[in-house]
Amino acid sequence: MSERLAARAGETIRRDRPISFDFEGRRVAAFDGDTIGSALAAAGVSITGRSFKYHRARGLYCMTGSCPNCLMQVDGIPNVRSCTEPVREGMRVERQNAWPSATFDVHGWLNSFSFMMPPGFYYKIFHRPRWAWRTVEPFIRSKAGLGKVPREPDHEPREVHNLHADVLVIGGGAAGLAAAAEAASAGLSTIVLEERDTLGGADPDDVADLGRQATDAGARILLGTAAFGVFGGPLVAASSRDRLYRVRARHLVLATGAVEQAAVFPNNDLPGVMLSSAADLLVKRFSVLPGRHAVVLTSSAPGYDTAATLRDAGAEVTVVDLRPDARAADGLRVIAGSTVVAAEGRRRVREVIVGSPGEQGGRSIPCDLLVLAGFGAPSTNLLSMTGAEVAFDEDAQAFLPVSLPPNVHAAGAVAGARTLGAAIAQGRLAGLESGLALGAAAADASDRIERLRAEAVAGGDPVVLPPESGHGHGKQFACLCMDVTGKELKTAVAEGFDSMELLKRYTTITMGPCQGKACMLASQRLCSRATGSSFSETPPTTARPPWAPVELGTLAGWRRTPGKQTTMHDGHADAGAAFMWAGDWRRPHRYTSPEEEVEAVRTRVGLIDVSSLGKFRVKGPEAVPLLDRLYPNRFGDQRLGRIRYGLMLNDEGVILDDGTVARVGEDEFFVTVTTGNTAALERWITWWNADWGLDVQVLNVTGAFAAVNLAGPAAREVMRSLTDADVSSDALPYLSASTMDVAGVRALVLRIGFVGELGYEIHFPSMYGQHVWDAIMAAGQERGILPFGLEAQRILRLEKQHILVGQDTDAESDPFEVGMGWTVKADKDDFLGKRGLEGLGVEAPGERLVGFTAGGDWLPPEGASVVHEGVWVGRVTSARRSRAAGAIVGLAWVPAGWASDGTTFEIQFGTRRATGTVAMHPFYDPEGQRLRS
Amino acid sequence: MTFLIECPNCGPREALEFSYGGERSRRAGPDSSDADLAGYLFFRDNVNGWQTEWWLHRDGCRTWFLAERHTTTNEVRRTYRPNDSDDGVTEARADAAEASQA
Amino acid sequence: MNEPVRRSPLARMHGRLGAVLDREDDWELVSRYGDERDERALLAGAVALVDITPRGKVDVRGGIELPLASAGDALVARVSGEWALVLTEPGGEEVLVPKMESAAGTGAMVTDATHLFAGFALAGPALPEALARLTSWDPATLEPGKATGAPIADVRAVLLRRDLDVPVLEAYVATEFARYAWDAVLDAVRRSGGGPVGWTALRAQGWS
Repeated sequence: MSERLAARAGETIRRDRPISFDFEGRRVAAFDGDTIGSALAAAGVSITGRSFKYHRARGLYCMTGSCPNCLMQVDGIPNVRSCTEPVREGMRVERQNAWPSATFDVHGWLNSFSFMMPPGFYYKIFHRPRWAWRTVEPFIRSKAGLGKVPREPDHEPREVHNLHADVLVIGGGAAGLAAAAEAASAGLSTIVLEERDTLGGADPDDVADLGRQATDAGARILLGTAAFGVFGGPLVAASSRDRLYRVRARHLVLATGAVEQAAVFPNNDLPGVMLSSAADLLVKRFSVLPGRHAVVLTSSAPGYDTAATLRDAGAEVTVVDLRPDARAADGLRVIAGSTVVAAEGRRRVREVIVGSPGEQGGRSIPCDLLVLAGFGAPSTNLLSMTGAEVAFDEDAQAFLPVSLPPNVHAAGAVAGARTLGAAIAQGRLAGLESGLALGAAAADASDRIERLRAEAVAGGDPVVLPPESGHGHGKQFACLCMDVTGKELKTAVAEGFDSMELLKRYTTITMGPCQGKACMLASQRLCSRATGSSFSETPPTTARPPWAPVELGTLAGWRRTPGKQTTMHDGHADAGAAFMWAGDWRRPHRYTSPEEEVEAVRTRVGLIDVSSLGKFRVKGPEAVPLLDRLYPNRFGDQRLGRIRYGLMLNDEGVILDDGTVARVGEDEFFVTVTTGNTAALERWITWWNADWGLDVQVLNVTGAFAAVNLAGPAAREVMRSLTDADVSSDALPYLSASTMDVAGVRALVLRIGFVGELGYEIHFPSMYGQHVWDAIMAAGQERGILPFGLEAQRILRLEKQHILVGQDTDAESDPFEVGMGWTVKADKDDFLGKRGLEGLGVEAPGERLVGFTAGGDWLPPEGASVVHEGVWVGRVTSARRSRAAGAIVGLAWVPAGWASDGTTFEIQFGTRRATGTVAMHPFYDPEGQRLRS
Repeated sequence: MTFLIECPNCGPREALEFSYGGERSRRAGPDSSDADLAGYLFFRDNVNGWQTEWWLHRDGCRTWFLAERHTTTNEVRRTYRPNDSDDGVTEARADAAEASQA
Repeated sequence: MNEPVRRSPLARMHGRLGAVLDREDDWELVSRYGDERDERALLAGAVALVDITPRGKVDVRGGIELPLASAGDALVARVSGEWALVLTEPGGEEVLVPKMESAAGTGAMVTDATHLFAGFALAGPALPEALARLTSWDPATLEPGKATGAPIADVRAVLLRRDLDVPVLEAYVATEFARYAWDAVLDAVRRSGGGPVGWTALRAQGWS
């Protein structure tokens, strides 16, 4: 019905650039500059979707992205606000929540069964029997709701931008631009966020000069960027198409304007009923006539501007003015002292009933368009998130800010300005005051502030809202998003949900896609009527993000995960390594097969990259006291070049980590810790050092050193071909450390190993990583060297019953329980865990970690239960098949009394069962002769 | 976690740059009673209000320091190094915060 | 046996970008990736990312004043009153570490940090735009010649601002994060209109 007008001055469409797109299988012609909504209106499509619950026909309502009526599926993306989404050539657009189409939705019958769906109906109806909800839920979910979530991954490149400014202005209307112009002129870095793609809404001319002033002064204006939340700090979050902005500013100016509100009367949701923003934008920017026979309901001067705009565009217009003293103006037909008491029509408004507020009956005016004009409410939501308080202002008949946090300013309609002049003055004031506070104001700033205060008073008439006094049949919607009617709110109040916050939670008003933009005021008014409390005692619900819709992909931001790699990574990849995550490291899981790799280490020689081991350099006059307090071990008597194994405990006596401490100087130690614990231990060690204030420095040098473990019976021969240093067991015995050149690179070589063979742990400057790895592999070639991965290492260490802290221990494990009470030097004055171990009486543990073997084919998974007479008494922490032991070998927590060789116990996981046999000594080389050789 | 913390070295930074070290407590030493030990290990004051707590500027200067933070508003009114005497560091922020508290 | 050679952890990634390599000391470093004039243009007109890992680096912590006084004309990135990173040319740490160590006595710990950090130089007029994509830290709070610690691409870094003809920020991240960080930073640099650049073009800006 409505269609494109002839070319008009001020339109923002480009008629020389036609575009077409696919709308539910048909081509729709549009122009560059159109939105989907404006193009569909021009094509005569009046139904833009079906409502959430009752599947009622809905049409364009706001044209500003503030309501739920036009959400569509665009190129597979659901819930796109089609009224503001620019058209792109070839895009695919479909309406949502309707089948087969929004025009003929077969689920429209739901509207007639609304009596079955009162607020909270599913709590009430499907409470008993319990199976009913499970049966009905899928049906309800398929009928109620919004678009379809795409199954494909999100291919949009997303970004997060961090911006910093002296002054951040939210809102690119007159007030916001005036503030930005002042702030930027004072030399402050200034950013303006404007949700729409143009400044100043429907009348860009009003603000064109201010926009230029702001830009010329250096303000940065971000269009199409919606602030959706103010968080602690304060941090302002905003989003544009593919970007999340995190903005930090020293001063915030909230110039968020007003949001037009719905009026409540029967069938107030019919297509053809719209807010003045929609009518104005359609005519002025897109040259589309939204209706030929228009009724404009208003109570203020701006409503007459909208009426004149429609009339000038060719519509026949009747103004219905709530004010009794309204007179015909500008040649417009005016019905004074009246309101719209009902709208009628099926798929579109056909007539409205105009009558006196509060009285029955009225006269019918045939029309195809009803415009609700000028019923704006200050948009205080983001302002409230800053911590500002709002309260009802009798004079303005609106909720306005009454107190602002430090460094927060409000300007324009959000602060109660009702004329353009007042809004601009308030904006300038906010900019000047920011400059003054930040020490950047011009000399005459104080004088100007004085003068502007006089101009900044609200001015104009307060907005009189139409009463919620409609009669006749037909639903009267308070909330378009969630399909909640005035009657339902009344019912809910009668059921005891008698405040806005309770009504919100019970009926879901203001919780839909629009987040209360268009319905907050109506809901407040209906709530106050139903509860009998005054409007001023019925404040809006707590403001929470997101105020503007934001895509989940935008919130997720970059797809980047900090992962650690060793300097030999490429070499491993070349050798065919399969990688796995080990903590935040990427490490080889295996190269060939773990069994072959185990075989190489046990019979020949193997090489593993252990660069990920946490490494600390500890140096200073009080290095020994620090380590003596951090570990239960004693270090004062440790000789230079010797290594000690140590457990680190917390003050409860629980094992935090195990590792080695090598004394490499009189007051210098080289400490290694478990890969996955490195960051936590850096915090732990430096924290205690800060508290104790000892004269010692600690540096995490993990990345500085690459490390490899060369292990196996032939390891010494391989070492001899790599270094001139004496690597015999006399010169470099087990648990000793020495500095030497390996493959021409200065290295610290530790005689230790996790796998139970003769081994050299070689630490060397990491950027030589590939060189040293390649040199060792070449040197070991004739000995049959193989690189081995984490899986082989796990088998090898289990054969030796070496524990993995965090795998075999948990948040309650102490040294005595894992059979390492020998590390605890209880006669030391103090160490972390000393008092805890004493006080908690753990020297007689109730549980023990023991080794076990098991026969059969079944490999018990980690976490399998240890049971006794059907009762859970422990668990398996690690288990692997061992060729050396000829059985499955593992570690398990069992009752302490079972900790002797040969005790058998039952392992259970689901229906699988196995018998474990306790083994208190390593399965492989129990005396540790190979390790020491 | 979007509030700012004033690192004694680096100035105001996003809380995300820091690691929280818990409320400051007195360690129960080797001669402490069982009650003191249990109190130290298992009980926290968990105040609703101003709390002195440990923070590490993990992503910055890597310094451990103490902060007085309001546990409901996340306002940080004062930060100082543990080796500074608790009253030694007077900052404008601390004064302002005390004034606003009074 | 081959001569020991030091390679940045990014060596393979540079290779894929077509890097032309130079040898300095026992380091392999990227001279350029493609046309050197294009790289100069990126530096002057957009933003360049340079792998400066081969730089000599010395970590000093504790009583840092005495050892810093002995550092000569090496570049000092002072992160706090107790921690600084001293930067020099490739191989320069071999002279610097013993010199600073003897000046430090027991009051400070001097550590060769050459291998502890990978280094990136970000240089060019679009530096602020690239940084907006990489960190919540406000680069405007760092004056030229000053250093600080702050996260870049979600990993901690030592940052040194040293403006030449164009703004330059040097960022040092833990070696184990080098490859991840290079990818992340290069992505941000490319989205800001820039790209990778070799040492030759950077040195032509007066960088050393």
